[in-house]
Amino acid sequence: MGTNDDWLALVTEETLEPDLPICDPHHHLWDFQLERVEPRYLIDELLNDTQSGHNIVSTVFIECGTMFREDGPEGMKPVGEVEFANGIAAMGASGLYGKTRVAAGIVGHADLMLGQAVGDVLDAQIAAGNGRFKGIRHMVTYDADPAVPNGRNINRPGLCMEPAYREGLKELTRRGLTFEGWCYHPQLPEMVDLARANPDQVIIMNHMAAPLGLGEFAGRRDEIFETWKKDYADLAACPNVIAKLGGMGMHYFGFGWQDRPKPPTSDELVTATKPYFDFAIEAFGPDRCMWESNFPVDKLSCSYNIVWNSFKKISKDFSADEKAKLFHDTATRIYSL
Amino acid sequence: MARNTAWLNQVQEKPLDPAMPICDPHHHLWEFRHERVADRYLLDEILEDTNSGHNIVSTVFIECGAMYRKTGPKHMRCVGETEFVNGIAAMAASGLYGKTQVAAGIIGTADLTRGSKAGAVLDAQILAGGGPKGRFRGIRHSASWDADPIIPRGRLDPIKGLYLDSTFREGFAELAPRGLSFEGWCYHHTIPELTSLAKAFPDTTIILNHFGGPLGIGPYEGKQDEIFKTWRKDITELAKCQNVVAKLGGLNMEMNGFGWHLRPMPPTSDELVTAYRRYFEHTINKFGPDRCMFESNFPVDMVSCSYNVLWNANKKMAKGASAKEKAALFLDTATRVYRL
Repeated sequence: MGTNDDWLALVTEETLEPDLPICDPHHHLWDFQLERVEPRYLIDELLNDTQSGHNIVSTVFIECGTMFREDGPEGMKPVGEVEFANGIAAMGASGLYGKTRVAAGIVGHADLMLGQAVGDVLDAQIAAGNGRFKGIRHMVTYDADPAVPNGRNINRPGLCMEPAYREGLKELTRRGLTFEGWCYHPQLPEMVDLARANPDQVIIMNHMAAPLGLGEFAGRRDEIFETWKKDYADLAACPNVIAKLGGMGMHYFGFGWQDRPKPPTSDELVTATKPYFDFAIEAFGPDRCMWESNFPVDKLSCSYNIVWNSFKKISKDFSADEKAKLFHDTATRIYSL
Repeated sequence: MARNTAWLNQVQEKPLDPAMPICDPHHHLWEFRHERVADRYLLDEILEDTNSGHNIVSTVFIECGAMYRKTGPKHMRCVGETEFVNGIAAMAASGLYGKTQVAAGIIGTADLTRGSKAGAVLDAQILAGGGPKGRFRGIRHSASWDADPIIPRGRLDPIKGLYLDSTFREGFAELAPRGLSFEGWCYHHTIPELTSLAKAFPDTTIILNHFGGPLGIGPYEGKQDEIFKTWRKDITELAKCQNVVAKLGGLNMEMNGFGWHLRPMPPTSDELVTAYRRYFEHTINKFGPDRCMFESNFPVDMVSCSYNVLWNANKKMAKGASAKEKAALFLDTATRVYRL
């Protein structure tokens, strides 16, 4: 049960192209996240969404600081999250809950600031995932504007420029693991630098690198769009970077859907987000793009059914082959599902 | 919510000695078990029980055919159960759900009738439980066979004389090198076969489940006193094997024939003590508290009584024991045997 279920129910739509196979490569699972619209998002809640109309054949769990171990060495605490997600994945793999292979891939967290020592954590994560662990995210989302919330435990800018972080990243590359890049748009040049310095590291840019729309960034959408385009194009020029298309239902983007009397229709989402997505697909190409739900975070703004409807509307002029890549194949290739 | 919650609620008791730390070394976790009183028994449901009055500090999950993989090689499908349980254990280890370390130890299964090839499954199970430093502790491979079809043979439908079978024993030999334990589960007439197995493998820890299943339905109905005499002798023999440990519980199942679930009211802990005392006393006498551990066998035993009433009965059963013996019976034997 979400806290905004009634509001979301004000807009319902028929599911578009309900047979098209989708891998949702970005969602979370958690409990007791009281600041979110879905404080509990475990297998039942996820399935409520994945079974709401679209053909979700598999998913990838992305770290969210959940179920960290209460005890033991600090660096190893995130291993609990991978064990937890792998347990849910096993439930999904039993077939008892329907066809969706929930958390067929697992992206955990490891503190890259541990430098070389993060290798032990990664090895423990690989063991905990028992075949499903694909990589990590160590977000660097930071902005000096107090209106922009910084990421978990992020207290300074430029984290991914620091030597320890870069040294930690090398341990990831050594093990052939993926890296989820997550920063705000003003930090894009740092991410570009990281990508160029680590050409053998697969980097999956989360949530369009978040062109911000709140605090000092509010009301400057056109201007920010231009800056974002330039930096995002630089990132796309790095062949080791993959783009996740989504996450625009988060409040950082400043669309303010959550404050309206009614949630957006997929048409409204298309109007607001298409310029960003069009640019991303043009820059990266369908081989390096994957649609993502970012649920239940994005549930703040719209339902699962409607967000995927908006993606399908934006993709409507692509060939069948390109659509297959955007909705499924790029994700299963990158995460080797 | 279990199907018999309203019925169970008719008997309310105050938890006895509620501060005493308990490891519950035998319970299951599952979903979609419509034949049971609780068809969903996941973290929320077990916590409802473990938080119902007694001080359950840790638990051990015992295999029950849950969450087997739908695809992949048949013999490896049981690995899904261990992954599933390790996930629940991780949730509990986060501390977000309270102090109980649910599934701190995990007992899975592996088909030992595959002989030495079972070793590969055991290795996969160890990995699924988080590797050598993880939670996987051993397996159960039930020999719950009886000639009468009214007696449930369980999921595995074992052959008669499973624990004597040479191929099975070849598989069994794979346990000790990996430091894994074995849960022995059979019916009362098969206890001597478990004793034979225990003698043949003195380096493998064997945990006798549910008193060796004294039956009381079908051909055994009304013969409990007669069966008790044989059972008594067989348990005495089994207890001579130092590598065997006894779990005290699991008499609440339908097949034990006490018929609690058919009554208008569930039993009180006093009634349970009266009915079960001779089994508990004899077993504790022969094995000693250092080789005995109380168990809930939930949610299977929920068919007859609540978790609170069950542990009250166990505490009444242990009333005459010293503090040290009680600690062994309720916590220390389990944490030692399962290396928690």
